[in-house]
Amino acid sequence: MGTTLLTEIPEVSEARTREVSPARGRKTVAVLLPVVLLPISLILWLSSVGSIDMAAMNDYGLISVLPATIWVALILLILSFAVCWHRSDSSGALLALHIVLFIVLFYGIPAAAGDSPRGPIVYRHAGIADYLIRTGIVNTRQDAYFNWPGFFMGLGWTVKIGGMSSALVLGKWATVAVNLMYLPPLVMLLRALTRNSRLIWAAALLFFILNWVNQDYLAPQSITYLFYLMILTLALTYLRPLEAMDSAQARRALSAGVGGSIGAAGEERLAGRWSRWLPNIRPGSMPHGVPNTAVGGISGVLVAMTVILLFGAAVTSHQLTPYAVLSALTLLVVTGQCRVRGLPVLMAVILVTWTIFVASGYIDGHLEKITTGGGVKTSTAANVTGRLAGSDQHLVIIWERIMLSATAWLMAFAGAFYRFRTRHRDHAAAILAAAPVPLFLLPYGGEVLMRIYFFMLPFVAFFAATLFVPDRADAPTADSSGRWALHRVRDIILFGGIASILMAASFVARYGNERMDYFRPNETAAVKELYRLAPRGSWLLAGASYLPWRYQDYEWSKTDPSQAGHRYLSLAHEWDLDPTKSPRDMAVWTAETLRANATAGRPPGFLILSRSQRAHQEILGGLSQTAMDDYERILVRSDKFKLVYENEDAKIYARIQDKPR
Amino acid sequence: MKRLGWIGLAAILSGAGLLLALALPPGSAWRLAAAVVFASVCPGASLVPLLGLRDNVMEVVLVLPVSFALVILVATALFYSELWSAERQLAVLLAICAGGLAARLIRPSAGD
Repeated sequence: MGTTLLTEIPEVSEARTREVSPARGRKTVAVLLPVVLLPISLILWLSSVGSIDMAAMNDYGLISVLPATIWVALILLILSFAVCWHRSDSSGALLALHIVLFIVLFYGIPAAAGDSPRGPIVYRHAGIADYLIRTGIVNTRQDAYFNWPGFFMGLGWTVKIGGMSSALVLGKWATVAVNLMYLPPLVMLLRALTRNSRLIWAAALLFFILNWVNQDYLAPQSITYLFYLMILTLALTYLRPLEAMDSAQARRALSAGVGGSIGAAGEERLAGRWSRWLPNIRPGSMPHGVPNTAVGGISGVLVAMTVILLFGAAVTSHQLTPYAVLSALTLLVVTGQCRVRGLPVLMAVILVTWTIFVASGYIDGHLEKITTGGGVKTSTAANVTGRLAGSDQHLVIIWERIMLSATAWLMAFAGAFYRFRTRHRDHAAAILAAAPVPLFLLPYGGEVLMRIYFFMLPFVAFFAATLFVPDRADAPTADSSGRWALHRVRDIILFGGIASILMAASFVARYGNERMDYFRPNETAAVKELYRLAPRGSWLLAGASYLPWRYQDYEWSKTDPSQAGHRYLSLAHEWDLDPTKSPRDMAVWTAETLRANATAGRPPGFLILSRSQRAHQEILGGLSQTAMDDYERILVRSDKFKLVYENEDAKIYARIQDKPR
Repeated sequence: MKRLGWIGLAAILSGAGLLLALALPPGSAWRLAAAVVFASVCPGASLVPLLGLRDNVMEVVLVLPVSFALVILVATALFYSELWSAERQLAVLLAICAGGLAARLIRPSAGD
């Protein structure tokens, strides 16, 4: 069973390719080209990334300020990959190196060009980890995060034992690190679907090219996605039906049904008792050319336990990922692709137990939202129609994202159609591509469609890649070597060209919100100053909650002073509740809200306005610039606020204590 | 040492690295790096060889997810039992790692 990634077993057509070796000259080009292109690509990127003027971005995002040299670097990298990839005997390590470099060069641009982690959520996650390790308390009433705190606990421990004061130190490069972590299980998962090495590596590259959904930062969903990939890899590699194994032990294990299927020997009696109650499921077919590596006995039991371990960690950390795993495993079992029929049952029990006994704080407080927030109509409104808003440039980005996702799915459909027509038996890949669809019915708000896209992506990339790896006798013969060489060049250009176009489209989609996601040093400095000025217990109001805050003093309680870090408020949120209110009304509301806080025995409140908040409102079509300017002018003239800090990108106003009458 | 294999060796080195790094002052980048390496390698590397997969690549690939899962689950168990402290979590994880390595020495792997 010992295998290595570097010497994959090729499919039939590739075996034929190997029969006649390509000319030595072509081999030399394929070997030498990466030696030249990779360093050029890296040098171009390194020499340009520091010169990106992030402050000059418009609502198209990062593409509006990206130097041409970065485009050239990325395209050269893809071209180099395409040349190496087309060689059937090319080294897996070389292709992996290309993908590693692609991950660094594609996902690392904001980290290399910016000064701090992007987007406000990373700061919030750092605040939750900080709260947990500072207090040792899991207060499920703080917010939804505390009902699934496993990731934050693990992160907090790593930061604490590492001697750091905040998890933010890991935030800046987390996206690159997370994507690098995905690569090994992704390749192993693809390897369980096919042994065509060209297909594996093409699909792996397409996965990272098409991953535009920004779910891969310092966040629970990014780590639980790693668990998702690993669980599916283990299920498809080791927990398939044992039927294909020839040994007598394997046959006994198969006949043992549900209970004995993973631990074959000695369990027939137990399985015999239960198996008559279970429907007879025919073992699903293995993909073409993939050997059955299923393990039985104690190894099978241990692999199943590892699956449960990974699933357990996912359940404690994230609301949605366990449902994606459960859906996938259930479908694999029902279709005979996974023989451990008890696995989905056990997973469901763990999931329900956690939801009822641990996440009950969230369930109790959001019962109405949970019961009415799901369904096709609600999810469509939240995920599609509700998102079609914002500035003109942002609308272009939204439509581009829709078209890119639709293109990826269409390519996958075409690939799947081709593969089933050519009898490749990719049932497992097709099942797993469809498995996340039921998540659309869950009450998860406006991001569920993007999550579904992400859960589907390994299999969408797999089927899309099959379009570039057709079954044909493409081996050169003495008569056809010239034509074969032409085909080879055409294939390289086709794959490299389409991959480059998809990369460019994905770049636009991924970094389309960068103007608001990017925080300038002035903004992080202003928030730092806010925490210095504001004593614990004070209320902090922002124009919109889109700024690098909440990384400390996360907790809030009206009644328990030990739990009073800060209360965080958003003007845009309050204004949304009644959009008919004028800037003057909101200025009055601000003065009253922060004053009421002061009279309740807490320090006066603070208002922070910053560039990223304005960008957020302009891009997504919230408060207008005029309304915000009017609001600020009225506030300043009211004599109830004092400007206590100002820089080019941010202002902090302190509420002045009312004089006693 | 041969029975532990190089994955077992990686577990020992990452554990020893963190224990040594704890002597460094808070804020040291080396200490953070040692903590991240420990959390990514040690628990998984000490337990994964016990699965008996006989596939070195798969074992290496499994190390990181299993390590993260154990760090998360141990933290969760300690938090919910109101016993959490960073030192206690480290002790539990080191005990798990030592147990895994000891089991490997006593009984090389499930598949052997």
